[in-house]
Amino acid sequence: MWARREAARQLAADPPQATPVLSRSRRARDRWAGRLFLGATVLPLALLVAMSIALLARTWPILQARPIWHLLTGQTWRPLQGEFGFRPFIIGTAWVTAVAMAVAIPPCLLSAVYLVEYARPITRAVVKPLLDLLAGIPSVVYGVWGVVVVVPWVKNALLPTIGAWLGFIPLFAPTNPSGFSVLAGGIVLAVMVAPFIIAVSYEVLDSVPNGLREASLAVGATRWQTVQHAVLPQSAPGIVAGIVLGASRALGETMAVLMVVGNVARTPTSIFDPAYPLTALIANNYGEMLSIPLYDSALLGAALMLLGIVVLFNSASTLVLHRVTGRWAA
Amino acid sequence: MKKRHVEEAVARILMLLSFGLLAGSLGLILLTVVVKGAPALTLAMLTQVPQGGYYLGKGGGILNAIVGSLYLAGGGTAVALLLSLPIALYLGSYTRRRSRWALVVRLALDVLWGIPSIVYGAFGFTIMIALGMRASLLGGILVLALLELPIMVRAMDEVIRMVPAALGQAALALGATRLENALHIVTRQTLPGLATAVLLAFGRGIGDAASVLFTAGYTDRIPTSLLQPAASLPLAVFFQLGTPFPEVQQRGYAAALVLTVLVLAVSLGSRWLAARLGRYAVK
Amino acid sequence: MDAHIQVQELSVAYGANPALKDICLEIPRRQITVIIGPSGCGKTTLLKSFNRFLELIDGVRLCGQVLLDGVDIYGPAMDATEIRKRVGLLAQHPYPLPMSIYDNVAYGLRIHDIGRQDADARVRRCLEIAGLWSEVKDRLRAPATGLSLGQQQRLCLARGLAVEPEVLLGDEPTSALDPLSARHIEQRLLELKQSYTIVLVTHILRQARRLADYVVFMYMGELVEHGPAREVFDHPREELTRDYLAGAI
Repeated sequence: MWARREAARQLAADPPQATPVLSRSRRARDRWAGRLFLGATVLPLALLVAMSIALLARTWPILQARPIWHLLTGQTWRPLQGEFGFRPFIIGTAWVTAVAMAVAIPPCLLSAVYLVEYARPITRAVVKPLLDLLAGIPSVVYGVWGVVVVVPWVKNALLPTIGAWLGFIPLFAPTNPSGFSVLAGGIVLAVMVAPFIIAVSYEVLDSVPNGLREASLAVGATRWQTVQHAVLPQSAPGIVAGIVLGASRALGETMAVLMVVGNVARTPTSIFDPAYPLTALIANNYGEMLSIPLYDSALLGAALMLLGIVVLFNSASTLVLHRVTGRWAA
Repeated sequence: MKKRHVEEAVARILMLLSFGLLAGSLGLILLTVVVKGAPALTLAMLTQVPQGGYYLGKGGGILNAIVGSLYLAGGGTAVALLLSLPIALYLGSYTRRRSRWALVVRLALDVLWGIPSIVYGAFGFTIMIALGMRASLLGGILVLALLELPIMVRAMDEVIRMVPAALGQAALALGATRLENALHIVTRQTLPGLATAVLLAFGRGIGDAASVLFTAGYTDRIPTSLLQPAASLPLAVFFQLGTPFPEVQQRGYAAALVLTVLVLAVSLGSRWLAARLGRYAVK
Repeated sequence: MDAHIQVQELSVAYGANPALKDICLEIPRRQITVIIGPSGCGKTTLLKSFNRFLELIDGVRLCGQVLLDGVDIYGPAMDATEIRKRVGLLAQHPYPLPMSIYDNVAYGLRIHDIGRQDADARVRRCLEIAGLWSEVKDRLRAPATGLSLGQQQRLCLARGLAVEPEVLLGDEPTSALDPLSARHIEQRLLELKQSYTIVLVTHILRQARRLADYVVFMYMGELVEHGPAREVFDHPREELTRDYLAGAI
């Protein structure tokens, strides 16, 4: 017992050093890297904030000079006379986006349903790269296609037929014979956002548990009845969110729509009318921005408007999609 | 035949039609670009910059735009890579599954992803004016970097999240720091996915016009310094198509063809690269 | 034996992996037949061959015949959706459809376009048989997802009964439920065997002993033994059966 007490006293006086496994420099590097990486993650949020502030700051002069209600609902756009009525452009954007969605949604949903519910694995394997390809084509190339194929098609094929049969309805009135129209813009945008809507709808439909499908099939439903009554109602929120995201992308497109939509600053009344979306407004006139008073404020205000709408649509949709599929949007 | 079977058959037909429509559109787009662009695609187009009177129909080519696009997208992608990798690694290797901050960052990235490129351009323009910068290669590179950032991070994040947690835990159990795990193990495991992410962002950057419209300017020459303006293929297409001269418009189509081939090459290249680099990955 | 279902040389493979090998079997009418065996032995595959659910799986290959009242359900002129109307399935996990309680039960009537006039009466009767009526009669229009798991399973039972099947299949129908709800379902099945042929798959031997009139024992894709429950449980002929019943395999 005496020896033990002696040994313990010696240990307490002179404890053996633990050999360090983690050297100081490795630890320091890890700490610094961690801080650096964390710092980097601030970037996205900071960028969003910076964009909003910068654009707001540049828009401020015109917000001071004109009541916001006049800006949003004014019909005339004459920058040289200081008249900045955004209404034709806002409505133009809305019309082109609406036509694009109307054209895109049915085929895209049907395609997504086909891919998830009916297609064999080999079909899916072939189609996925094709969709990626379509999604990767630059905006100007879509514009080229629009000018070479879509506009003439609208002018020579759709205008005579739809304009003739349905022309009594103001929406389809054959007012503008050139083919550069809301319809042309809508068609081009529809093809542009199609891969995206299909991809998101695919994810949403795929996340529906198979047990639900089997529950419907077990009482003798056909596949289509199962889709109608079980799968689609279950995926409705996600599909809607995907469509909203698609609309958001459509209304932000610049080059492709710019080349086919006519760029006339009047509120359209028919799908054959030309239109002037906000994106085209900014792109076409940025050159003169700084030479006319308040012009830069107005155009950057248009950019701010786009930012606001897109942020609103996207945050809401992304949150819904995250809840539905369990992961972030495709 | 029973009603429900008829419905099923009709639905199938509609689905196949939709499919055909989309496949046909893709084919038509590529066909259009090739048919209109191929005739005007001469060697001179690819190897010369516009000579005097180019926009009136005289000699020269689009080399300024080709090189300009490569500089812009290359630089932009490089800067974006520098910023994206830390973010993606942090989200994937440093944070726990349910981290609140990671949620916020990912949401911000998703929102950024959807912001139109013209808004990026407008924002870049605003900052450049405030800093007294003129339209230049540097401006274009920075704006493209910001544009590509969300695309790159999101693609990287998706790959990194697929790394099984057990792999990271094995590394940490051996005494590696989080940094070492992230750099040595995670990146090697996800190398093909990361490469794809980089090329995906590059492809997006090289095809974008609206963001470089304000910020990179346009010029007939190949920039020799970061402070000079730079031409880009999308804008070359746009401007040339906008002239009233058919010969110049033809060249616009040729430029569109060059751009499309470039983007397709990047897309195919990324698949090939992913396949080759995937050798070390743990399945 | 009055055989409702006859299985003749049925072999099933998933791609290159055989799941069922040359099964020959008869399922007696209006009795509870229980298929037992260790996991992976092919019980669920055999069960799902009775309502043509196997074809939902990619790469599945099937040969042999399954006769329902003497007619091969895999015959070229046979419509899978009609077969599934006659052979219902109660799955392990209840999946209420995204609609109200009433609509869930009436779903089968709707898709087959039958019984429109007295749908209310039919729904009520099915819910009564499933033992759910008293609990839901005041909230028939409420979403079915608001029910507890045990209630949902009874709802699925009612839903399956609405199309008036001849055969009722059960794929471990109580294993996801709490003991009380499980007993509830077992009691319903015992009542139902008077009017329906019931085939169950279970991995709980005690449940099999409680419910079975006829027993089928499978091992590694092969039919080892089958017969009336009393015989198989008390005097098994095969050694494998004895081992399984004793808990050795």
